Amino acid sequence: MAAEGRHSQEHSDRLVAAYLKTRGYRHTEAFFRKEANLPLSEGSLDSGLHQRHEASVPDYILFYNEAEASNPNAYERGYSRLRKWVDDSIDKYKVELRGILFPIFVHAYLDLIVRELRDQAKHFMELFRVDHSELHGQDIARLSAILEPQHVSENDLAQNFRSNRYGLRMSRYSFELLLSFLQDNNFMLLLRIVNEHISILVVSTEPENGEDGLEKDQTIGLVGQSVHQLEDFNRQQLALGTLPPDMPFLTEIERKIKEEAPPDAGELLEELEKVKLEATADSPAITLPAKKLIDVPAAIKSLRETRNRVQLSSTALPSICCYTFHNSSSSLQSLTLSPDASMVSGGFADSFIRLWDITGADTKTSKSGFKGEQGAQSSRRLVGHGGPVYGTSFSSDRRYLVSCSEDRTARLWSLDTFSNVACYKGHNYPVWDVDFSSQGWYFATASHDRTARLWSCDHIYPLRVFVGHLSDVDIVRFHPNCSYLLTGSNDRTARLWDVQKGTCVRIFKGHQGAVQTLAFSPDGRTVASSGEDHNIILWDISSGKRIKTMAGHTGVVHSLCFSKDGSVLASGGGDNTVRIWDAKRAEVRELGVKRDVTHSIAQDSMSHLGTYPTKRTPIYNVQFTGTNIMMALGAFQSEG
Amino acid sequence: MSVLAKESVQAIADTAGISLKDEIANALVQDVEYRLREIIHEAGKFMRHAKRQKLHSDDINYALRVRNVEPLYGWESGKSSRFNLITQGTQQIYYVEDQELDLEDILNAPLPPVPLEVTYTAHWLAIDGVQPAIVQNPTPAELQERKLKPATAAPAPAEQISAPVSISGEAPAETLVKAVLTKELQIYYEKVTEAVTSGSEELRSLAVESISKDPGIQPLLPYLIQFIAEQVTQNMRKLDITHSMMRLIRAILHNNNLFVEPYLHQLIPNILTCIVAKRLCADPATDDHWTLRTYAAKLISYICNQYGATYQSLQPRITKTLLRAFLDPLKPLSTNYGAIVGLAALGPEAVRVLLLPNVKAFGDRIQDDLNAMEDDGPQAVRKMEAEKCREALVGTVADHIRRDMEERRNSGQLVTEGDALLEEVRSSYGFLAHSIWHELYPSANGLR
Repeated sequence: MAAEGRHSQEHSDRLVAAYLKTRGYRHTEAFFRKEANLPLSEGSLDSGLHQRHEASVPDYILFYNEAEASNPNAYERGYSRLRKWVDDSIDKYKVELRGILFPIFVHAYLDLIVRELRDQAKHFMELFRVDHSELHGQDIARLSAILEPQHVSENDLAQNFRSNRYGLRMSRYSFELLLSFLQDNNFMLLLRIVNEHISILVVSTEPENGEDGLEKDQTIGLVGQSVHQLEDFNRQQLALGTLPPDMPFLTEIERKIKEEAPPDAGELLEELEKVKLEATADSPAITLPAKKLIDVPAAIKSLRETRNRVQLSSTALPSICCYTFHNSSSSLQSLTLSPDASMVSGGFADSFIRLWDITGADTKTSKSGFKGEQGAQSSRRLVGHGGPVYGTSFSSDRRYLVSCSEDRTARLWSLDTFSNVACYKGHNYPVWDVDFSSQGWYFATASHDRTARLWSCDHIYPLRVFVGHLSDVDIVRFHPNCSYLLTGSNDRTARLWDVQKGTCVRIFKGHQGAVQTLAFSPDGRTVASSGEDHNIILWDISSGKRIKTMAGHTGVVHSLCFSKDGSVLASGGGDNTVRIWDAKRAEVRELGVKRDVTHSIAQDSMSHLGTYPTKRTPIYNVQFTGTNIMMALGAFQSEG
Repeated sequence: MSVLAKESVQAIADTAGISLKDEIANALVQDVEYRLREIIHEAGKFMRHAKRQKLHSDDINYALRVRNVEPLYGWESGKSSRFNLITQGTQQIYYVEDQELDLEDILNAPLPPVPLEVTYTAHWLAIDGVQPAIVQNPTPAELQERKLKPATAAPAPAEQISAPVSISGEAPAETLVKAVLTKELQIYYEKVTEAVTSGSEELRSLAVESISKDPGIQPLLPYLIQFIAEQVTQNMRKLDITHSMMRLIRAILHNNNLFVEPYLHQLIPNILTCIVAKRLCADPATDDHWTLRTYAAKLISYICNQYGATYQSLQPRITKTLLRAFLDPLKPLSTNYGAIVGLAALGPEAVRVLLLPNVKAFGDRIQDDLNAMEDDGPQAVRKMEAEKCREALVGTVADHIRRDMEERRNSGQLVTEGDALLEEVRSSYGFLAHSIWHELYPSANGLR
């Protein structure tokens, strides 16, 4: 060990001397040579890079070969040799090794640009972009536009690559193979990239047996966290249980039921007893405003709905009611159904929100206060925003609506008076999404400024700012117990945040495109995410691991929703279909059964329970009502 | 790699009165392209959040605002801009036409119509996981279409266009065809249609032959089918036209490069018309419409053989139509004849099950007509028709008996022959038994 240390030290001394010589620091060199005979302080170069699992390349390569550096074709030569070597390596290691090509490709290109070797950079890009266009097409397209050193410092994607380490998982043997290849061939430039920008997590001694080239499993990619931390990160304790039952409120409900004695009183009380018992061990502690007497009728109604709920499973599929909105001429941008399925709110590009009463009640007798403009369909307009409205969310008691817009604000609307109650300013960029917590009072917003924020209705400033995403936060959802927030971002990750502490507690990485929609299962243990890459991924929250990937959609997935009993997942998307998936069934691979050739097909068909196409209506939102009837909302697209 | 040309930058600089050197233009073009890509990338986010698949000029403006760039002010027409090409020497420059509008004109123009109120309709997309077949849901044919031709504007059959209109109620009727036919195809179509309707037999044969071989006429198919349908309905009495239409159908069916299946339901009525129509010629007494009926019958049987396996309901539907035409005593004999040849063409099974049990009754029906003595007038025509029917029927039955005997012989079963057979024929086929026997054994001296 000591001998080895001395050896590497001598080596670096020599390198330093050579460096000084080439730069013409003759005096310094002479001094250095003299001093090098003295023992240098141990570990000055080891700036804590060697951590527990990290298999780091010896640091001397930071002083890479100057001769190689001055050769503009070195990158191209090095990369093409590496690629050939990876392609020629045996299948067992190929899958793992292939993962390293993309980050090296990106950094080699950026290096060339920074060094103003424009022609070489162009040539390099032209030559090798096809390798990655399948998995990283969007990134490649953006990177290929970067042609000036200045662009590198401006472009957020390039900066993401530069300032974050790209995570990879690899078996020990593959890693050693890679290192010895790079060192034997003296590819110091590539080695430097590996050392500086890639963080390799050595997982096991044997490579995982994946014939289908599931590169996504090996690639962690850019997460803004060191991959070593990521493992620990996702091990943090979470309290995912349901909220403790609010006993005084439940007693109040009981009293009310007994007092009024509706025909189904017995059944309701039975259901109420179940609710009382529902406290779980890991209930979170969060302060919520006390329930009021005014909420009792709604609570009784939801008890009744729970009682009448249709049981769903992979054999008993739901009924879907589709609401198609006409004449929107593509200005309708979001649709949301109220929790009691009586109202729909739509956000328009023309800065207003429209509310529809979909119960079909007569406008005169309707308590909701809608005035029918033509008598046929009652609707109200809420005017106040100064830009397209991208999202709306109802409070659980249906008395408030919160909306977000391009004008950088979120607004709270009272549904009793149909007026704007408050305007929340805080974000500096367009706000993409908003979500009310299941208990009301708190809501969260997601914005283009890469943050998500937590607000309470009575404060005009945010209570928490959640920072960490590397790109736009596209969607935000409250955990059913209100103590966690889940965000999905353009950086292809989803993150779980602790509302109390304001810190990130889980990172879900695995999508190939922006995460645009998320859904929690009702028990709060599972989450589904989807987006641009058309695949739906189910995650286990407590372990932070992927449960399964479900493919089938042929367009962007706009919305996801679990049924109330959590057995079935529904999705709606830009391919004009609603699809139903089995959320309970485990995929073959996760059960540890050996993968076969038909894996990808099986993956499609096994959990996929049904496809329901519409005529020309992209589905903006899917939601299950209290009785497990599915509602799908979408705006009809006229031709052209 | 760069999409922009340095000439574009130079041209824009020219409009501002600056002339740029090549190197400067080169450097600028790279930077401009980078900025454009970034803006478009940013605008894409706005498009995605608006849940659209088409980028609007608004999105670009929002993206500019986000990037702290002054947005483009101006009048948004809602129409997409068209780029026009201008050639300047060797340079090709694209520009957007920027019309100067007189404010007066805009002010005095009538107000545009008030946009329609956004309304909603509700329907069941699925009931217990099964999609009900209602107007609001897409038809199987539409789904098939969507799978086969994603995104291309295919010339859709009429009912597919009418369906979405009926649910939205106010969507303007779209033009039927968006796909653009090349000029060559259009000329080809004109020539072919001209040739097949022309009087010259040579031209017709050439046209039909060309249709049956040409690999590149798939885009024309809907038009050809339309053409056939029009011609058949308009020229019911013109034997030569209908006949050449049938030949055209045959050519289409035999061309391996054509994908006919989606259009079968449009083709079949035309063919059936030519089989069982009441009158297919100007003068029933002299014109030979029988050949046409037989020809069309062969076409139908070809279609059934070819596509019957894929479309289960195809053959039952056709046989039902034919059988009804055969059995209905009110139908003219020409229709009956068509039905007989049609059923005969559908194969031995159809003959055995559908035709044979009804031979006796039919024979009784035409008996009077056959025995009529007049040589002139409508009665004579009717006699001739009855004669034809008898011939066709007798031929079919005789064929069937022969085939039956052959089969029995081959499989080693007992073959009914001689007197026994005669007895059987007589009891089964009544009035026509004589002719059938004669057909079977031409040498025999009638019924003994």
